[in-house]
Amino acid sequence: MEMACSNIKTLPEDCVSTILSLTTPQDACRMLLVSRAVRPAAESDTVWDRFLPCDCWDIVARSDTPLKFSSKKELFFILSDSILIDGGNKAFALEKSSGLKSYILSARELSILYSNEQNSWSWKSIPNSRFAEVAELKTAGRLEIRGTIRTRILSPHTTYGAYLLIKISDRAFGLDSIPCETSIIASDRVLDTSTTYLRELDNKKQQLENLFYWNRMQMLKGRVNKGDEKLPSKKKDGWLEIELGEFLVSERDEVVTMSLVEIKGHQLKGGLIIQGIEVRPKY
Amino acid sequence: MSSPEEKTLILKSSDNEEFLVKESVAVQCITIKNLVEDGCDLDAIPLLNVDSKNLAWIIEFMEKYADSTSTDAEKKDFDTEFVKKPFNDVLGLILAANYLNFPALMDVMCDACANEMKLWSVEQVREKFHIQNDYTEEEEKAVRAENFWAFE
Repeated sequence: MEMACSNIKTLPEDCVSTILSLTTPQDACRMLLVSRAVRPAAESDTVWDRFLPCDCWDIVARSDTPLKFSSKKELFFILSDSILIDGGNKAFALEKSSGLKSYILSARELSILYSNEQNSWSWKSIPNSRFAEVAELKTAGRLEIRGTIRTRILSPHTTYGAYLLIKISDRAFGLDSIPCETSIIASDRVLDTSTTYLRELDNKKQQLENLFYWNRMQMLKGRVNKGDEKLPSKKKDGWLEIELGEFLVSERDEVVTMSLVEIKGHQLKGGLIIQGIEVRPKY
Repeated sequence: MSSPEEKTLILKSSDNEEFLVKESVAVQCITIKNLVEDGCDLDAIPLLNVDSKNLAWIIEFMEKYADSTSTDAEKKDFDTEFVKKPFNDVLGLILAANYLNFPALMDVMCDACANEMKLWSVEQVREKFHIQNDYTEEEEKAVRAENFWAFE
């Protein structure tokens, strides 16, 4: 009896699958290396069904292109590679190691002030964008960019970060003389606020400009709420991302509004390109 | 709060030890529930694949879970202490819970086993479960390459 209990080979395959389904996708793939005998259990639908989100069939139905898969494991990896859904206006992906959900809302899904006015914003296609269209700021005095997401479509009990995906064109002007205010608001309460500069790091031209306009920038900064004065980070795909804030997905379903706003500088700006807002697990 | 007519069952382990358990408690094991519903009229129900060590633990677990006065928090604390057993015993209880078809015990023990496995390397898993690596060197390289991201 003692010997039999300590050998996984005598554990029926469905027991092994049950145990593995309680680990993570990363662990299940590591366990593939244990032995040939463990493979069928580690690749079974029992395990990978548990790693897929409970609304995954709804998401599959909303995919832009029909998804082809012959096992739940295959479906998991298709989804972890990111798919376009909702007429190409959103992207959805599972985090490979954990199975947690993430979304990118395209610029068309956001509420951008004056985005319908041809003098202020233009919509165009550029290579290297996940979506068919991005929005480019031609000229405007105010920036108000907002996206919303329902927490029930996200993974529960997870802290999410919201990131505005942008590029700053060579012709950009007026974007970084005053920090923008970022916020995350749920229903009626403010979950996170901060400030950010719309500028690329190590941009020699901007550093020179800053030298000249130092006094003016200090004065403008005073108009804005105190914040971390974050800077965009560069991503591998060449886009910049600005963290708008973070929030924890709790039990109750609510609408979270993620914003970047600049309305206190009263000066014209242009050359900001927006791909969308990414909402992904932070920890 | 058992009524005078509440039935008691005798469960007999593979090593012939007998345990008295109230029927309402024992039927958490679907295998036993089916036997009772099929009108099993044996004096004692023989559990050929469960030894007395495991059966004593299983009965302890069943009685905690059948107790309507224990809260969820109390059950959770009980579970935390209950799973603190040598790994071979954890596996033994999983086998027994599977044989007896006892979902609540299965969940708790499999969860405990999974939590251990998450912390182990592939080599440690082989050691703890006494599994031989039956991959050839080429096969092992191929599996590792296919799943390289999991090892980063």
